[in-house]
Parts: sequence; structure tokens; C-alpha cells
Amino acid sequence: MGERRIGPVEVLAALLVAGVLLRGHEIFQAPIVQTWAAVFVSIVLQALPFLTLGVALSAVIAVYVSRDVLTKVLPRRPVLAVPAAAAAGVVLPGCECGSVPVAGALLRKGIAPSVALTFLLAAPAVNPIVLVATAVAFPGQPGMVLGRAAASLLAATVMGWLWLRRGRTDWIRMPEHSHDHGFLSQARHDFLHAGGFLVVGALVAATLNVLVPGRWLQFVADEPWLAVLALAGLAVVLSICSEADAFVAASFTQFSTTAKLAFLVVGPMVDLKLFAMQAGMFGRRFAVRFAPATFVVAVVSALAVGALL
Amino acid sequence: MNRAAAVLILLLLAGATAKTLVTGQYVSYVKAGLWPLLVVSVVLLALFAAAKGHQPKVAWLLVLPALALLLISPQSLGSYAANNAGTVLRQSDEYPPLPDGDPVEVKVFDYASRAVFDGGRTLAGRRVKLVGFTSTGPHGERLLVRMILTCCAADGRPVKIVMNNGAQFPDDTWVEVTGSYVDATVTDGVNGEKIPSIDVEDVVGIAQPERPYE
Repeated sequence: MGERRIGPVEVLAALLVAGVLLRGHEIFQAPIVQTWAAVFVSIVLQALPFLTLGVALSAVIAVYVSRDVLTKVLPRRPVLAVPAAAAAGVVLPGCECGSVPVAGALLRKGIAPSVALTFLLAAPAVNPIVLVATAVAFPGQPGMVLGRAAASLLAATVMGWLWLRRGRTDWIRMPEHSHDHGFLSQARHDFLHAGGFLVVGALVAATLNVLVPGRWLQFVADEPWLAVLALAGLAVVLSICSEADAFVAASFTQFSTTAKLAFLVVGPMVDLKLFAMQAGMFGRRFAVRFAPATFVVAVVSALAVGALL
Repeated sequence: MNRAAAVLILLLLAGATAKTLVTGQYVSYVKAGLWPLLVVSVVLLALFAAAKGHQPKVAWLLVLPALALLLISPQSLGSYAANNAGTVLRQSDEYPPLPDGDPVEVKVFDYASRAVFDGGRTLAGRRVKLVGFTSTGPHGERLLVRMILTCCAADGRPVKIVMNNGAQFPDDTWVEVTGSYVDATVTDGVNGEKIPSIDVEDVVGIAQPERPYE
């Protein structure tokens, strides 16, 4: 055995002991702490199935699907492959937490970034579960479902094309290649990585969720431009799963249809937990450019489609 | 981080998730229907723990949700969350007569919708029973609140109803209210929506229902 040092396991044990000693302390009983903790664990629990299945799917792609198969199903010209990737998002019934590792696996396979990123943006926004949820949340307003699908596909496609013209591959730190091969090792590595960043996002989102007073929204609802920006910004802050955001949008009754549409288009593409996960998966240099650009494109798409509704 | 720590963290997270499933506490955080997927997650986490590989430093953070679940095990959303969000209303296409029963059990969400969008037509003349927790309104009104969940507690939104008369309970007490419809509303200061009222005949404190959300 030899000398003993303080290693990670000892740190973990100390953390657990400290936790058990503090357990039941009155500070944990304060309503704001209870609410914060409930929102924090609920974001993580809600994301857990989609993240674990997402990393499993991405491991399947990494280990079992050859690059040739993927390139064959996509149009050869990148300009056409981008909208095809957006349309392909319709088939993956997950939310945004699952699509980050899948997009990472596509990049690792050598798929063009413009295509992988378009898929990353479109998949959580336009899949069938999300569209059905939107139809249920807005009964008698089929325009909302169509508008959401159209504006999201538009935003994802524009971002893909924008990347073709302006994007630089060296902004992306290629997702770490796990040195161990095999399905489980790959999935395990992706989970530990993406899961850690999910926690960062959940911590920030829960904090803002509890601290930002809901009544601030009342003041901006009557100013058309401010209303759109406010709900788009709120979508970033709240980091709600794309399968649930329609119901929350429907509760903003005092806001215009376009503002609600902006909430629905921005949320699945840019939010705090997604930003943390993208920064972890593709690097900070990428995330600080990609997320703001996506925000602008998503808001403009919502405005354009909202004008037609 | 070394392998042993990564294994511990993965098992801790799997264990904490499994515990909330076994105790049924998970319905305080997510929809009940998520349980099959959560079981799959627990199995996958256990498999990940058994696999070999590198462990990135950021994986340390995964200990936080496990600790929060095991050590804080937060309550379902209560009056703090209710006061921070506007009351939720959704109009139905039709409002069929309430089922038989005296008093008849009605969901808080259904009561509010019938009261605000249908002028209480189907509620008038009936004794109703509502279950929710207590809270205090913007002008000191006594409120009966039930939270609605779509996916997880991050999207939890309150449905509020003003209780006229009736015994006083401190905030965040689960109660069963028997009463009848009264045509009166106050405005929710958070989103400007109408909060309907109920004339209380009787209020009793109860244990938190198995499903805290509607």
C-alpha cells in the first residue's frame, strides 16, 4: 500500500459526511431554498432519460454506423444537405439534452459542421412530440403549430447556411475522442462530460427561475418589440424542456402571438443549460459565437413567421 | 478524478434516482409518466458505472443533484413558487355538467376555467370539493392553490382561487375545501389574469396528496 494521500474518493467521502451532518439544517427548510432545490433536481431528473438515451444513441452512431451510410442519405451539395438535416430533425423524438451528444457524434464521424449543427438546432424544435404538445397547449390555433415548425426549420436552415459562409472549423474544439472503444465506454464518457455541463446549466436556470420575479413581465407585455425580446430572453433563462415549453408559453396570456412564437422558437435552440452543454461539447470559442447568432436568427425567424400568422 | 470516484458518483446518482422512484417522491419533480424512462436511466447509469474509460473533471458536478435529492429532498413546489408566477387559465371548448355527487370533487384547474370562461354556469347551485394548498394573495386574500406541471417543476405554474370565509391555515398547508361558487374575481398582480373565488363552507387540513400536481 505505501503512503496514503487525499484522493478524489476521500474528497467525495468528506462531502457526503458534511452533507449528512448538515442534513435537516433549517437553512434547507427556507421556502426559497426548497423551491430552488426542487427546480434544480427536476431539471436534472427530466433531462436524465433524454441524456442517457442520447449518449447511447450517439455511441451507437460512433461505434456501429459508418460514415458512408450517413453521407449517402444526405444530399452531396452542402447547400442542400443543410435543409435536409433540418427536416431529418423531425424524426428524433427527444429534447435538446439528447441532441447535443448526437450532434457531437455526427461531427466526430466527419459530417460537415453545417449539417450537424443544423440537426442540433432542428431536432428538439420540430419533432412530433413537441408539435403535438404545442397543438394541445394552443387548442383551436393550428397556426401556432405550423408557425412553430416553419420558424424553427427556417432558423435552423439559416444557421446552417450561415455556418457554410462564415463558420470556421477551428472555432469548434472537436468533441474529445474517447480513447477507449466499445459502446459502453463511449456512452459513459459522453454522459460524464455532457451531464456535468447539464448540472451547470440547471444550477443557473434554477437560480434565475427563483430570483426573477414573474411580475416584471407585466410591464413589457404592452410594448410589441420589448414583448418579443422579453419572452425570447425568458426562454433562454428558464431552460424549459422543448416538450413542455408550449404550455408555459400559453400561460403568457397578455403577450402577442409573435412574442409567444419567439419563446417557442428560441427555447429549444438557445438556453442556459444548452449553452453550458454546447460549451462543454464543442468548446467555449464555439459557444460564445454560435449561441448569440442563433438567438438573433431565431428571433428574426419568429418575427417573420409571426407577421404571417 | 479517478475511476473509483467516477464509479461512486454514477452509482450515487443512480441510487438517488432509484430512491425517488421507490418512495414515489419523483412526482414532486417530474410527471408521473416519466417513470419507465427514469428506470431505463438508472439501468444505463449502473452500466456506465461498470464500464471502463476516462473521467472528465466536470463530472464532479454530477454529485450535486444526487446530494440535493438525498440530503435536501425538496418538497413539491409551494406558495413561494405560486406567488412568483401568474395564475394559469385555459379555455375549454365545452363545459359539460359536473358529475353527480354532493359535494362533487372538482379539479382546481377545472373550477377556475369554468368560473372565468363560462361564468360559473355549470358550478352554480352545486357544492364542490377542491384540494390544494394555502397561500396569501397580493392584497392579503386567502388563496387555495394547485400547481400544474407539464414536464418538470421548472415549468410548474399555479392555479389560484380566492377563499371567502373559512378557517385560517398558515401558508403551504394542504387542505380540502368544501364550498360553492360565488361570482367574484380579483386580479393576479403577476400576469393580470382573473382569479375566481369560492364561498367556503368547510376547510380541513389534509396530508399532501400522492400526486401534488394536477
